[in-house]
Amino acid sequence: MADPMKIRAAMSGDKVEVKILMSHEMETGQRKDAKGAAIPAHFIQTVSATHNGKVVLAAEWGPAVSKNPFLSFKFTGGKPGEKVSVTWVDNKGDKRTDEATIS
Amino acid sequence: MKTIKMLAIPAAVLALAGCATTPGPDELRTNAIAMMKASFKEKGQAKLDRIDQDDMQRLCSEYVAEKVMPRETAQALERRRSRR
Amino acid sequence: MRKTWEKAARAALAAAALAATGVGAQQKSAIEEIERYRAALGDGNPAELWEARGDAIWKEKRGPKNASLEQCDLGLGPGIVRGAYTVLPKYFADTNKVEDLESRLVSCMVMLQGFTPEQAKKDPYGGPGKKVAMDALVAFVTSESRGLPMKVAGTHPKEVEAYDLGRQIFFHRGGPYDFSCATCHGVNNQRIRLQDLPNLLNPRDAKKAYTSWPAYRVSQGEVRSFQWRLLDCFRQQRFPELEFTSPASIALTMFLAKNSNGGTFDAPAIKR
Repeated sequence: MADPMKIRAAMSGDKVEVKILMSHEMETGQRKDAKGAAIPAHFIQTVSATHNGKVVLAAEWGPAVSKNPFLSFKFTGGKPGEKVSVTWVDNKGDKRTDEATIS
Repeated sequence: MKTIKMLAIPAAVLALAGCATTPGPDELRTNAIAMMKASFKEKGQAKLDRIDQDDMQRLCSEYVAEKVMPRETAQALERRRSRR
Repeated sequence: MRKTWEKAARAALAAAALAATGVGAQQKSAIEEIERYRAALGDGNPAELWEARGDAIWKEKRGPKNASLEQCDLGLGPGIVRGAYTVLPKYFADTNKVEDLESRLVSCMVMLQGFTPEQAKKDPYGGPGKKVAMDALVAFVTSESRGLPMKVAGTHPKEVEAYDLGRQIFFHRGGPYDFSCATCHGVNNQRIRLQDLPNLLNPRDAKKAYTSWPAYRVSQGEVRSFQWRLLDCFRQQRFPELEFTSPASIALTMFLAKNSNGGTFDAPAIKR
């Protein structure tokens, strides 16, 4: 099972700044192991963030994103105490959802 | 007279204690090398003999930082090396 | 006539001064740019993922005794994690040994959780697709010392002995490359490729270097502990393999940790 994300959400002026760390191998499928066999691709394909049930970020990712990726974005309309929820789904169907409270 | 004697005894005890707890430089090097031999394991072609030193490495590990190699030692080492 | 000459001379001098600062500024800006890159990376340091995982493992009941590590004495008393890394390595009466963080964690796993020493030391380092408890615990414990000054005592006779032996090991020249630690880390302003090499005999560098480990290595995607740092330095020296938590590794850590006393601990850090 995937490890939890680290999510920080804080007001920055009238916007909410969200910073997310995800724990993921992000294997490209191009690398080979010590015996020369290809390491199967394993990477996050979609990331979405919601606030009050409304999608504030939707992203499609590929194998070019780094291992243990960091993502930061801003959106308008959030207030302190409200929640932001983030979900990723990878190419093997593994998924993880975590949330944070806006400070 | 009596006071002098009383002072002399603790001084002698202190000197002895100093000998017992602080290893001399040679002993320290021997202990350090023994510790290294017990702390590494061979990996591939890197065997434990890579910790062993020749005379130059030994002297160059001893005269370090503020400790300067005596001129005669350095010259003797140079002579031995250039003969090879 | 004379005035013009003076003017020209002054202009030439000014130009020369400008050129000199230009070269200095260029070198400075390269280092500043690398620092900016590090700062940008630091904003989202994945080491935090290790810290969170280590926090959970610290509290998890594990091993034959089904116990957590919460009562582990890391040097400041059972269960005290805050600031503990700043006093390590340290002599522990219960094992009658000087221990660094990693060897102390092994001792706690043995004493509190009932693991054998072999089991506790089995997987010291993570790798691709392999998550281990040790580096997560190291990340968690060290993160609890962030912002605190290093204050390794080094006064117990066994600590003094470890420091002196560590110093000997630091200067031990050997291997096919005829290297000692001091070859790279005993001179000011050395570099390997673009990495500045700290002179660990110079207090300023010694503090800065020691207080920046463990670190998340972007190039490896792993948090690397101080034990790993030493292992890989010796590999680069082409020595045999330094065994995890071996006496030499602890003695060398004692030498380097004590030399960093007074420096502000600032890790887990992030490095290229």
